[in-house]
Amino acid sequence: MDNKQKVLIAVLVAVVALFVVAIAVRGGSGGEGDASTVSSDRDGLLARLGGDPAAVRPEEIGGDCGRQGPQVVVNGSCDLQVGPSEQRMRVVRLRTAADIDVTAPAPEDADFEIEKELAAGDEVAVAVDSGGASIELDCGFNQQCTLTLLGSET
Amino acid sequence: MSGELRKPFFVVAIVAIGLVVLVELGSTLLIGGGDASAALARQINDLGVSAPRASGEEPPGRGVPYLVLIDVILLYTVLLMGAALLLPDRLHGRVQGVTTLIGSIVLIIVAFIMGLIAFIELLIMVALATAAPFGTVVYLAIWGFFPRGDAAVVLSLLMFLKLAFCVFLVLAHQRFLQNKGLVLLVLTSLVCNIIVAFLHGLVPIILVSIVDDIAAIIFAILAIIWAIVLLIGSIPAVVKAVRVTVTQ
Repeated sequence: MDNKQKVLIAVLVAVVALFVVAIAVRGGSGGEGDASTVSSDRDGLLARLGGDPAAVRPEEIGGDCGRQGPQVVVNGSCDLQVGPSEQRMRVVRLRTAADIDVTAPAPEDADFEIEKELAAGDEVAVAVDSGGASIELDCGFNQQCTLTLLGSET
Repeated sequence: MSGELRKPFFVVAIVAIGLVVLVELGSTLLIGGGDASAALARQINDLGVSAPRASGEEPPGRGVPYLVLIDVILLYTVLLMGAALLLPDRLHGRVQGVTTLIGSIVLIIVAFIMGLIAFIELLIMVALATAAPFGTVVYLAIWGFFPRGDAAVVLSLLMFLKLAFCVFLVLAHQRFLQNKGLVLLVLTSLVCNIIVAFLHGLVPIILVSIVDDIAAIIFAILAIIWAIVLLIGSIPAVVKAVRVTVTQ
């Protein structure tokens, strides 16, 4: 066996060893993971990797809710209509001053709706795809509540 | 171990790398597709949202299929060596130059488009994952439950075929080891296999699709670099072929 064959065998053994280690590493990677930790880590690696997703511009938002600048006034219930856009993924960020139910269709052709009950002071990011969406806001029969569109205060 | 090329070993090496390319092309059928609704329901519950009709499916990922961008160069290189056994030298020289020129340009375009698609998908994944809770639920439904086990099986098969390719190529003729370009290309292919296996195990399952997409982007960039090397290498052969044609 000459030197070249020895080097080749050494390299192949090293490759196999590295591959086995790479496959074995998955045992220590934390299993399934916790989506709530990932999604709330807005200053973490993920956020730095992709940057903040584009916020929906106020002029793209219509519907039958009352509007006073960045304030959205809900009397009982109303729909925020987000118009279509060339951007494939945008978010509507809302902060609520009272308890409210927010329901929105899942973007990217996912055929289901998502509902979240928010308490006063909570923030929520509603993802909207290029086709737009209708976001249902419900603060209870005969109740009035106010939300703030974040990123459009100015 | 000098002398003539041992054709049976060389044919086995070509078959091995051919199988690598076929497995990578068909890997989207082998990886993913399983139902992940139960795991999705668990994560949705943890996020404190309600999405009763939500259903999740294991994604096939892009990392493994994108390996084909590198390995198709390897297949092309050994097929070109095989063609030298069948074609006369003058014809082989011309065919090599022209096909490499066209092939490398096509590969640059294809790898660029595929890299761009993976990059856009990566941005969407990150945007959705961090847009809690509405975007996060959608991210989980589409990409949240990468089938690491399926991917490990396919990657192990690919690694076996690539190692078999290396061994049979050297058994066919030891002078292949003196071809630095070929050795570097084989090492790139093996290292890419290790990279994707390592990245799949690095993070929790719900984030594997993101690192898998990063791996796909890396492979597209590496393929473009190799295609540029091939393109530059083919120019002298094309110029020579044109000169010969003109003088005739």
